[in-house]
Amino acid sequence: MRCVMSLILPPVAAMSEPLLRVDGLSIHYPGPGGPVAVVDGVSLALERGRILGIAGESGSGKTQLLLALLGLVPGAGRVTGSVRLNGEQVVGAPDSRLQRLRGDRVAMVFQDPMTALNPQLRIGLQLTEVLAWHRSLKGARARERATEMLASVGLAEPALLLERYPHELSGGMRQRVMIAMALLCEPDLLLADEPTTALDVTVQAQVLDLLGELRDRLGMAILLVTHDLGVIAQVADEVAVMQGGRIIERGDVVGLFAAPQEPYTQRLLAAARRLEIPVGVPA
Amino acid sequence: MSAPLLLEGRDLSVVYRRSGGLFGTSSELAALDHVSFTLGAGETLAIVGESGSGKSTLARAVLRLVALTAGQVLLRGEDLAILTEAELRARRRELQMIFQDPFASLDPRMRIAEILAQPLRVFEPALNRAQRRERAAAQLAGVGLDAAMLDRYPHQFSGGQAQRIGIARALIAAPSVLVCDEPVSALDVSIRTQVLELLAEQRAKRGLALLFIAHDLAAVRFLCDRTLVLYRGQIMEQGPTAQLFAAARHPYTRALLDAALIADPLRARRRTARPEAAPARLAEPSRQGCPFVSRCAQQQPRCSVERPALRNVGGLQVACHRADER
Ligand SMILES: Nc1ncnc2c1ncn2[C@@H]1O[C@H](COP(=O)(O)OP(=O)(O)O)[C@@H](O)[C@H]1O
Ligand code: SF4
Ligand SMILES: [Mg+2]
Repeated sequence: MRCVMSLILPPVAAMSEPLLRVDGLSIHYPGPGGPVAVVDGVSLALERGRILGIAGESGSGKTQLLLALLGLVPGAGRVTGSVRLNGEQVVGAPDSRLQRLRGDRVAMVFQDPMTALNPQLRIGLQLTEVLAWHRSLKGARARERATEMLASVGLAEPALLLERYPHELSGGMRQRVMIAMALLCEPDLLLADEPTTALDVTVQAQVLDLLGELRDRLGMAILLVTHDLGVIAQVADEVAVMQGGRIIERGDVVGLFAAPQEPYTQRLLAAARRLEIPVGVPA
Repeated sequence: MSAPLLLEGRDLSVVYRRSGGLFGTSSELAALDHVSFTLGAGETLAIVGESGSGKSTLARAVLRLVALTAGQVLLRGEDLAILTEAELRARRRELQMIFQDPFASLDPRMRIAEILAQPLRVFEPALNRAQRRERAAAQLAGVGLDAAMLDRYPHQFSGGQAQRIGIARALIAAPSVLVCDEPVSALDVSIRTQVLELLAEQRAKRGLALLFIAHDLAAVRFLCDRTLVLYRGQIMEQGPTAQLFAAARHPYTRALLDAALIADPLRARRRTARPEAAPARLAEPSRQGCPFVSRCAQQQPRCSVERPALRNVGGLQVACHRADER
């Protein structure tokens, strides 16, 4: 049924097509005894204005899955299946097309902001370069837009920040700058790989609140990958649990946390709850 | 008089001098600012605070890996600063450390057997090679890993396993105090409890005292008798862990508690706004007044001019002018 659909639909967004639709996505790497699947037959769909949390332990394939959505799987990896963004096929798309897509319609934020920021360049230049490339916006207008975006992710004194280098900022501020950079072109889809794992709890809470607010304000869809079910409980609408490259359980976040079906999900949840602090929030 | 405490820090200060400012100026940063603590045998004290609050500096000062600007570290009542090199080496054995990044703290070119044998070479030079290997195997089993792993290299282990190896290396010296600098922060949540359980088990078995550093309160509740909360190198609040969690009086402690994640979507979303979260600004706060004032929703005019002293309020020690109002 799905195959037939993708054959007859034109490569533009049809009303019934979700923003992101992944069908039977697999990624294989060569191994000593033949190809090894790190992502194994993953299917999922994400609508505008929704946050999907992908929960899984280190090594479960979460980051590889995100990279495949951007066409960024390293050379040795073989990607099969289908990734459709706004109806457009990403798997096998030419590099020139993928480069436009990244930052334009889809953006990504990482655990370590320094993977996205250039330590040699002032924040302002890094932001305006993105606008010049994707939006042909230059000069004072680009700076104005960059300033606005820094303010909108909760950074005080945004005009001053444009003149700073990444190392002059705290970890939490760098994370915000990276999110601002990802949002500059108002992408339809934000991919976030453990975006708060390296942050202090106070900053983590703020960044998660920010993601929720951006979803509400801009109608953005967010795919959030994390090992921490507490992060998912805080912001996600839907959750998919990943183990060994497969999605083993999924559902809306309230239902799944209330009644996890798979023993693996139950184990993850039990571990998270053992470490939970009984803060004064009514049950 | 009662027996001396196992470990005591008196009025510890560490000031870093930073050079290379805008015009080649240098500035001073008090990473640790008059902090005192005590640790009894078999006890666990948590040091909690955001990054940059001075937690690692405290750990390094205790282990004499960084020079104190002022203050004393006493081990069983003896000031470590006045010991000779030889005496200090003997005391070093008693103080061992485990680190946040298990891989960074294990030499990638060494097999596990060699990593575990190293402390034995230093502290038990009489042992021969076979005896060292035997002890290493026993210690590895003690942290829940198979002795067959002795001949592997660090990269062949998962993060949780590597942290167990770090713990084994610290324990093989038979310390009385284990300084743990964020030992589970880099691990998946699902692995954290396992490592914390291992620490609790070793503590019980050996009567170990733990100085347990964390930016995450969850791990603290699991393991620690008392908790000390640091901000900008100063103690904001300290006391019995259970009481601190139930009735923290300092706005900073409460901000940390409010920010803790809850693995329950309904309760997590019912939380209110978080006024005391860090503002994302460049400015350094002034040195007078309360260090927390730039972030504090409870602040009053006196807070920016008068530094609150640490005082007893309802069984906790709190450095806040308004501590007794709640
Ligand atoms: N070697 C150093 N030279 C200068 N400043 C330092 C040095 N080490 C740490 N600091 C500064 O001291 C403060 C406390 O650091 P640290 O003890 O590492 O905090 P924590 O462990 O709580 O994150 C920070 O502002 C940090 O940047
Ligand atoms: S002393 Fe004042 S500024 Fe400091 S924590 Fe208390 S109320 Fe807030
Ligand atoms: Mg530290």
